[in-house]
Amino acid sequence: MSALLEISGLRVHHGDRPIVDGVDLSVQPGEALGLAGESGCGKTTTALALMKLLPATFTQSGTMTLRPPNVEEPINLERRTEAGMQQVRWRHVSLVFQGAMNSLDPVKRVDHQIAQAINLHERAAAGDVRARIGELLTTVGLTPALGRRYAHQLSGGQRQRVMIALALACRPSLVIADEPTTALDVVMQAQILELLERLREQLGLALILISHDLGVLSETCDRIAVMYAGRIVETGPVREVFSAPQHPYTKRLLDSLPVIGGPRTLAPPIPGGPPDPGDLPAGCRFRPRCPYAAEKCLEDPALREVRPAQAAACHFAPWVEWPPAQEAAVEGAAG
Amino acid sequence: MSVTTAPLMEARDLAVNFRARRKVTRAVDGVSLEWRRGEILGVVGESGCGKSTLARALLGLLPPTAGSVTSGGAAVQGKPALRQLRRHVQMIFQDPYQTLNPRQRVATIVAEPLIVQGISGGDHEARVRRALDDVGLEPERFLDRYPHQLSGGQRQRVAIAAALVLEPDGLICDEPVSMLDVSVRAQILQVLIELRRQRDLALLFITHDLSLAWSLCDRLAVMYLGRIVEQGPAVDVIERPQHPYTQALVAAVPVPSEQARIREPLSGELPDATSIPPGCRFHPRCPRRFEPCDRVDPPLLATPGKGQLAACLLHDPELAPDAVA
Repeated sequence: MSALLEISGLRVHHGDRPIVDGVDLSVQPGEALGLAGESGCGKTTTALALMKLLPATFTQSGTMTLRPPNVEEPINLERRTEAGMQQVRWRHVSLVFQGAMNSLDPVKRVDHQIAQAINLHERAAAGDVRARIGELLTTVGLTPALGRRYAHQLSGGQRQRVMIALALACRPSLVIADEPTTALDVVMQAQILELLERLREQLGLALILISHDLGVLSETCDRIAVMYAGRIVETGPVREVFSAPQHPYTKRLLDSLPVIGGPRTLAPPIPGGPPDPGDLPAGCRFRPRCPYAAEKCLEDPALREVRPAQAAACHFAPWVEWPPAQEAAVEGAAG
Repeated sequence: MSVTTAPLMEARDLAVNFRARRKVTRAVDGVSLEWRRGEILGVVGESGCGKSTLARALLGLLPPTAGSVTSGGAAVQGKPALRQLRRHVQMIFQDPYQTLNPRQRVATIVAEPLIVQGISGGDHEARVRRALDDVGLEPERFLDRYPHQLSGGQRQRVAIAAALVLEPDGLICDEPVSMLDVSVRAQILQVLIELRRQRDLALLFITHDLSLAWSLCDRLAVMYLGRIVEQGPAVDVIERPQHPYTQALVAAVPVPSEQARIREPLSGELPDATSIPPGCRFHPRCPRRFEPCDRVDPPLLATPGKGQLAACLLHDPELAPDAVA
């Protein structure tokens, strides 16, 4: 089976600062891929580069190939012009971005906004569009009558559902959701995650879920890629990565999450903060914060398979056992 | 850790209403709560449940509509009492980007509470330095910086330092880490835990993050629509919740490493606090409601859990159906 999406050697520069620095990713049809990492690691930039939505001050290179099931020729996104991308966005790939629920037009009714998105891409009779809107709202768990409302008449959770309905309006095969539940409460978050899961099942939708919340990713995704300082440092099936992480960064991130029923003492935090993209450390980018760093780490580690289907960019992987961490000495450890 | 009997702060039947366009929002609707000395007390609930309003009312930042707040046994009412209170209890907020004056240097920001409280003496600078040390910021490097020269985590540390400079007994933390990244979050939590260990600083920790509340707090109060619906030892409340609402909240927490599970998220949304349902305020969403739940407003009742109270008729020996779980 050929991948729905294949990204190879993606680089994004802002001036001479590498924000994304050689990212390879693939998504199979119907698969949910989680992209994890902290602010500034390049996960949102990766998504925007894929949609070619980066401001002109950014330059991007690398190949991005999309193979939608209903299209014969693969689409080479990197060669598409803005006009060409407009045929792709919403139609084949939709993006639900962070805080998207606040990006609904405040002076247009919800159904009107969905109709606009549909009419932009296809010629459909008004009656059909109306029927589709009702269907879409039902799919995302809203009553069609809510279509007559304005954004301010909806709750946060309802607005997020409308955004998802908008993303689905032209029946794309891939939806990218960037922190779709970050502004929501646990209960609402659970509802939205359940909705995304159901949509995958019903519509065979592939999903790239971007989040700093590892708990959210673990419950929703098949595979996960952990980013640090513009690169993927670990990737693999979600269960493997969570039960046996192979990169010290993943390991420490997981350790710093309290898990109900687990140990109640918080693990020592990762000292310091991520490096400035304009001032990257030599060799492994996690080296200055890594408790296991050694001389070898001054060489840049490649992302390589270290366990079946699981890859890590660490010289010492595979890690069978994690020795007790000696705290890395970081100058001015305050994050 | 000395937990003496006189609580640091206490609320009795506290209510805070807001009026707008002839509607009354009952944000806090009859809360009684004890915050003991040296204790980490967690207040959890969904947004809109009134947890932040409760915190602000405790500090006198919002006037109570009814009920009382006491600190060390003395009523907190009137300006002198509030001024006195803020010497002992300080507060930090969620957004470290909005709480610091962008035109002031760290040295000025941290010293400000000393000036506001009219604390005289030439040791201001020494106290500011000590406060910065306590939060893990080297005074030499940070005293002269402006907020825009700091990362999110550093800003929150500065906010904590400014709260600490008066050497308070208690610190109210309103979602102090929910805007921060995982690794920065862990650093800030470590600072707070260390402060409580070294200085016996009591923390009132407001959060919607149940895993965090579970790992950090001694006791927990769960709020729903302006009311505490369950309270007790943090571990017991999360691991053996006695109120159907707490049970639903805990079930909604995503758990890393757990098998993908079939969940039944609580349906519906938090009702508007202008129209609180009659009877038990949770009954329209409750999966376990029974006959009188729509008519009887349950008080906090004893449960099988030691020291654990729940405002649910399932724990009322006279009204509960026989099959009490």
